[in-house]
Amino acid sequence: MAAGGMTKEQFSHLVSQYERLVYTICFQLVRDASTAEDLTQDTFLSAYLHRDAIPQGYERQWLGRIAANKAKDHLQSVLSGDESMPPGLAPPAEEIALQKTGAAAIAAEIEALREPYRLVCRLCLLEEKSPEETALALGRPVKTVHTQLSRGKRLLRERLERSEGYGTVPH
Amino acid sequence: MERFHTDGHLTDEALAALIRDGRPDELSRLEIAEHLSFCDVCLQRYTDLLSGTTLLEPERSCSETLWVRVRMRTLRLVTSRYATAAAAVALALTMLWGGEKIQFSRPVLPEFRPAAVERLHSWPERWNDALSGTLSGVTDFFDGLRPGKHS
Repeated sequence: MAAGGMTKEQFSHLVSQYERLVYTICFQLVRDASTAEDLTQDTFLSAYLHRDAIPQGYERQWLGRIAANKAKDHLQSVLSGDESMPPGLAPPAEEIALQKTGAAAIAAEIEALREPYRLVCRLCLLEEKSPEETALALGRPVKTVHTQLSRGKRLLRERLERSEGYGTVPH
Repeated sequence: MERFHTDGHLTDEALAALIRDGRPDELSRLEIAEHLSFCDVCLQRYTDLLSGTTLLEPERSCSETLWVRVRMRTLRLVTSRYATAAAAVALALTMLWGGEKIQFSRPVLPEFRPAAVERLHSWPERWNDALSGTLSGVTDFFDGLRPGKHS
């Protein structure tokens, strides 16, 4: 049940009750005190703007989720810019490698990937499911599947480049 | 250290490393944050683990600055809405009151130019007159060459 119509006083109480928890989550994820303070404030601002949707009795979970989202967005912006690159635009390393080394080798490399990339790459690249279908199958947001697929392809490319017989120019 | 189980959920080691400052690198923290942003089970495990630890305290509490930001945001939204509404009202009034003075010019068709129409209608007549005059001049010239005319 949502805590609709939460007053400013009630929300202030919520802030004082959970500020340290939210700050701790933000700090542990970004490892920077100043950034964590900013993200804490962003978290409560978002919570206030959507205060009608706060589930009563689950405020801790709800705020924790917003904090994790804020930290995720921050880390994504800090890390390399191709995080949100759609899979269609990502370098087709696996397609090139497929021609050179064959499907079996690619499948082996995908299975050797670590989580959370192995399942995403298996479904999207081996079973040719769309990111939307993969998201539904794994219970992950579509956007997360896109970024994990993009990163998974990069990891796969690195593995393939290291593997024998790939990436060597014939003389 | 494995951060994820094969079923995709976070391992206890990953959560413990996050809490105990086990220095997971930036990409690992992004992967964990990404997972916590959608997984209820792992978020519950994480917050349960946090409740058993000493929580960190920010140097500056966000409660004061939060309300300043809320006020600024509200003000910006209200001014933006009022500005849009005022612009719409001004445009409507301009159209309503200034509509009579607005002249839309359109090209004048030939039928609205009496002199031109009259000139156009009289053209075949004038052509006939000119042609008749020319022919009569030619006729007179040849008539003058006839022998009977000289006698």
